[in-house]
Amino acid sequence: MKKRIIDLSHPMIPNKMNRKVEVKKLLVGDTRPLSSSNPEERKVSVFEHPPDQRNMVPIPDGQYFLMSEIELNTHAGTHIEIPYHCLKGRQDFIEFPLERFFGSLVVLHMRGLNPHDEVSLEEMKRACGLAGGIQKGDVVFCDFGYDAYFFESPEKYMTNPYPSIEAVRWLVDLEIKMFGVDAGMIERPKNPVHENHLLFFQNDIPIIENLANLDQVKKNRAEVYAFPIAIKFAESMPIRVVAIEEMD
Amino acid sequence: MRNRVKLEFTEIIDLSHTLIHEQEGRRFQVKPLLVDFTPRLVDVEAAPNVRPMTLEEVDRDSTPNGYYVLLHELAFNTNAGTHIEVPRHCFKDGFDLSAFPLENMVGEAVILDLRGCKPQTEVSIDHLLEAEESSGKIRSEDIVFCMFGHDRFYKTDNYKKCPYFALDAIHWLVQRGIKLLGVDTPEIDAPDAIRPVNHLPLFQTNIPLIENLKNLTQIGVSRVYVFILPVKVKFLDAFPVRVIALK
Repeated sequence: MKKRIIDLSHPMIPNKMNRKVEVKKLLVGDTRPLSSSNPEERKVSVFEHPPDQRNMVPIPDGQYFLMSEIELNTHAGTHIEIPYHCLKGRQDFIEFPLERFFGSLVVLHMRGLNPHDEVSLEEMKRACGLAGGIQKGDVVFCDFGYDAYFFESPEKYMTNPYPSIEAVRWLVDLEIKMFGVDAGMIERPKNPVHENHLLFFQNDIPIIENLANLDQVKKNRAEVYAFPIAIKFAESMPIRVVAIEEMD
Repeated sequence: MRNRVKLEFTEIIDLSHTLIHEQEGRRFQVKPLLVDFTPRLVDVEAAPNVRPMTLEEVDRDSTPNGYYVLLHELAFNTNAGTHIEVPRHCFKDGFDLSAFPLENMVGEAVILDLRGCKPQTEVSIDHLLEAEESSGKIRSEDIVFCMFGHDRFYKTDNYKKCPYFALDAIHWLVQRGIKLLGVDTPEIDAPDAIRPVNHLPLFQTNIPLIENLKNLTQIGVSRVYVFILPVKVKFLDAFPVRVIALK
């Protein structure tokens, strides 16, 4: 059976994200030797805050190599959060078991909800039923259709629907292993406590925010892979999320 | 009957080094920020109080009020640790990380056992042919991981003294139609190379390169399914990456 790869991640564009992502420094190693007497002596040009590194390279193709220094917030763009984000003493990305970062994916297609709608337990159950049901160990992503606003309309993007605490408890009781949304937040607006986050995290369920392209997952079941960079003490990290789906 | 996807992997092998605050050869810093929600319990309209901390200040075993939000800011060189390089690394119009096709990043990898190659010596076509005898032939569209066992020297003075490739050996790999090359060393070019000559044939044919792989010796078989899913950063030519083998 032929399969296709679906990218569920937004591109990360330096200086254009909701949170800090900045290329601070571009180092261009000119690999042409400065003199024939000392072929190891090379010139490295340093550009501070380069806007687009392609236009910053004044050296012919094949004659240079690049190195960038980047600064970013661990919650920029499509990112994965693990319980250590809110609960001390929990595992970081080195300790968190790798088998929790891939699995069988169910996408709940819930487009057409109104801004700030709360997804009730009944609505969550209905969406799961339409998707063919959820089983223990599944990865569950909610497709609100809000990925279209991520770059286009940050204000509209902030008005996403979110699951009720009852709906979250039901998913937790089903023992899903990862949860994700194509939105920036999964909490009721102005809720002083991140109760949905806490309920997932207390049950060791990672959360992926700012997913994209969930509408392209057509089948009830696909595979999903989301392996975070191995950083000691990190609690969240921008991530590439891919689904792999069988083709007809 | 339910339409269930079977994920029949029994072993997961992490082929990536751990990135640790200020312990990489290149810049790598993890700066914690604590979002303290205490004021919001009184006035939910108030902005949360974001407090920068040092890593030493983060007490991982005690929780104020059982609840906090911890964030980090990272500052790092994109070539730190286990990292992937794409054609933009040496070619202005080459694919960057956001444009590079994912099809090259997922699939079967063949592990070439090159542990017989000595430090600071050249890997020849003959070495590759010999490795192919035990691993089986490289197939078109294979990911190729070269196992020198050199990861055991990571973060030691000997790590830089790695084997490197003859240019015709790189051309030989390119002609085999491989889709990605990975090594458990920091470099594929000779120490006295004037230009990144071995990188160029790879990038000209859109073959990404992964340096600083780890644990290839743990795989134990010559073919394994791998995932290399780099963060999709526009303009960038390289980024740390988690490389995972499933068998």
